Amino acid sequence: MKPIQFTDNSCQRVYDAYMLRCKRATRILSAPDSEEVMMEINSHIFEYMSEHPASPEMKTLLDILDRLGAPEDTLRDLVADKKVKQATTTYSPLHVLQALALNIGNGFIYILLSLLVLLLITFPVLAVLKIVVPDNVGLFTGDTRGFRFGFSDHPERHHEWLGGWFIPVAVAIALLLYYTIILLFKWTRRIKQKKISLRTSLVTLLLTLGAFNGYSQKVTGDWQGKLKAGAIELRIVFHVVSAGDGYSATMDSPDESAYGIALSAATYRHDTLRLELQSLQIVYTGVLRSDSLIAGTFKQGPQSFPMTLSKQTTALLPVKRPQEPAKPYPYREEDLYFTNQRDHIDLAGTLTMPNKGTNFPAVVLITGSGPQNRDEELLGHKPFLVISDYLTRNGIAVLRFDDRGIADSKGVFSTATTLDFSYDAEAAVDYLKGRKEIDPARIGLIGHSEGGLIAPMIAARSKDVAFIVLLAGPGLRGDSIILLQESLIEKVSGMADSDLQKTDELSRGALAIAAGPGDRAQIGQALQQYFATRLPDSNGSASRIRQLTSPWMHYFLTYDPVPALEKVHCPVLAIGGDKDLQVPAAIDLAIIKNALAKAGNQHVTTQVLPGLNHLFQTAQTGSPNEYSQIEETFSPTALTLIGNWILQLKH
Amino acid sequence: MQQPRMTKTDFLGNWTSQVLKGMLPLIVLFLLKKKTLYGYEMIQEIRTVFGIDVAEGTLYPLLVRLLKEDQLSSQWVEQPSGIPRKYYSITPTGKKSLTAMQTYLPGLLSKIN
Repeated sequence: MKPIQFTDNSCQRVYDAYMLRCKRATRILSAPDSEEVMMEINSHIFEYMSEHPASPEMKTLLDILDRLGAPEDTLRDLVADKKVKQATTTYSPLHVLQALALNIGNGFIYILLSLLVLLLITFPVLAVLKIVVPDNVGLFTGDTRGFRFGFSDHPERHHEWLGGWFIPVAVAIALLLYYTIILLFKWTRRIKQKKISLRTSLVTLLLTLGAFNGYSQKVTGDWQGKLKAGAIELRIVFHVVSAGDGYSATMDSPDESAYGIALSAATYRHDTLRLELQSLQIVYTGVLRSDSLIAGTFKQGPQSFPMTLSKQTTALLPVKRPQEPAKPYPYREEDLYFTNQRDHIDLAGTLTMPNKGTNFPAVVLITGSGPQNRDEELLGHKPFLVISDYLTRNGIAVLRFDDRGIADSKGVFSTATTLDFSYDAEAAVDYLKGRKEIDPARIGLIGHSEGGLIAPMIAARSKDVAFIVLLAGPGLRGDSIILLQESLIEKVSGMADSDLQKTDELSRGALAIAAGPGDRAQIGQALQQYFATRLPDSNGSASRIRQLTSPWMHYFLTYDPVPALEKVHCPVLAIGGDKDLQVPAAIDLAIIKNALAKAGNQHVTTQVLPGLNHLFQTAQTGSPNEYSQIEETFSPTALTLIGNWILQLKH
Repeated sequence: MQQPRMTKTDFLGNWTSQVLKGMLPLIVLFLLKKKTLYGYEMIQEIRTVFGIDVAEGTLYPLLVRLLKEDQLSSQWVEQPSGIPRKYYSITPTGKKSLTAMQTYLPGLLSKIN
């Protein structure tokens, strides 16, 4: 079959997906029958498309697919019927069974037929049994209940009539039954055909309605995407809501301070969302890939851009990020790939370097916990973009990269631990060593939060690391950090002391289990029991357990940063904000300082910075609630401190 | 909660669609007696001649049934586009059925009027 070629890629995807569904729906038919059905559907779509050349391709395609309906439903009766035809013409037992399975829902007569098939099977079985236990099988009389054809536990009480003839008789009965079934089949089919057309449409209608209701919940909500048009990058948000039988939508363009623009059309069919704003000639079409991801194309007039939408759980506010640099930058910027050879993962990053000169000192930026891109983007802030911009303007080369499995980096994020991430960052150092513009003797690491655990890990095992900067890096073991940050955050959010104590106790127990011995399944089970007894009314424990049993969490909870710090001999700058509620600076910096002193490290600077939170923003309380509301991304004081410290290091 | 009552229009609408569905084999045979048609074209023809919108999901199973009962025959015809059309035509048996239907229907209607 010759497939139809579309000019629009998303159309091609929708069409391919539909044809694949048709193929699956007709898979059970013989190859020529399946091909015949496919060809006719294909031809039908093609004819419809050729008849409507003027309207948008996607709209036309969706219209015709809508008319054709879901293949599983439309083709159901056709397939079931063809299979019966095949079964009755070939007499193949396999075809009969398949036809029965397909038609079992079609009425009582088929249930009867199925029972007959079961009965049919017993006779060959008896024939075999006659060979195995000849005395117990036969046609018996002499019992009080007349005669018995089959198996007897007490053959000595009866008279057996058939002897060696039993097997031919059993086979003959089986054949007779088989022929009866075939006849019944043909007869049923003739009756059924008289009602087929009406029922088909009813079934199709019901199933289609059901299907649409099921899907509708998935597509409604707030979808956020980025429109990358050359150097310009705009955030776009679509708010899709159900309206009557269909949908309606509005659009925000926060970067242009435009909100609540009503769209002229919103449709969702065959997993495809189509949004249109006629006045601006904007059309977005995308295919729903998961509950939280739509892959598609944003078109405005003749231009078209790929745009992926992800589901937004919190409302996006119009935000100002004054520290984010505007292009053109007064320095070189290069997007590149390097490979973690150990785990065979290609990582994507950006290297920024001063325009002039060579032999630059360089740093690799290591992100905090959670999936993050090279900018360490979170809550509308891009801390690593701001840091790299500042440092590069001051003569330091910076390599920042997407976490494995995130943005353009390959690999899998969800199963990776802090240790795995350390090899990714180490690969970045190796990459820098190979760049002629970089001074190989002055490559350092800047790790934020979890990155502050990773930097000492690498420095402890690699001689290539010339210095490390720990931004809010932990000194405490993972489980202690989590307990401490929980209670500190709850305290500033105004939780009463008595409640605080209760949640602390609950978390303490859960973390003890999560950090304890046993494999993932065992820990999960133990946690399930724990939460079931402690929080019988709560239904949120499933996601909590999933979080607590992730490979990352288990590693993090039991990881003590001190042993690695005790092996770090390169210069270290460790700083933290006194409003940091996630990794409390006073405690953690003290531990880090101690560990480094134990290593005999003379080049250590630690400093608690007043007024700064975990992200090094100038903050009120330090609560994570404030992170997105604060305009400042990274305190200029902290930036200056870091830059000056790196530049004063001896060559 | 009160059950919504079936209104007069609902009843009529249902009845009309059932009649049309019953008429569909006749309509198909009638159109194919004039000329051969492919599936998509047939839907268009039914719409222009009779003003009825038939869903693909209704027409194709009917065509399969009529083929099996030897009322219709079909043939794939190559097209310049490379995507062939399946043309349906009426068989002698189909013509006989059509004549029988065409005489049966007026007889039935005359008894009603």
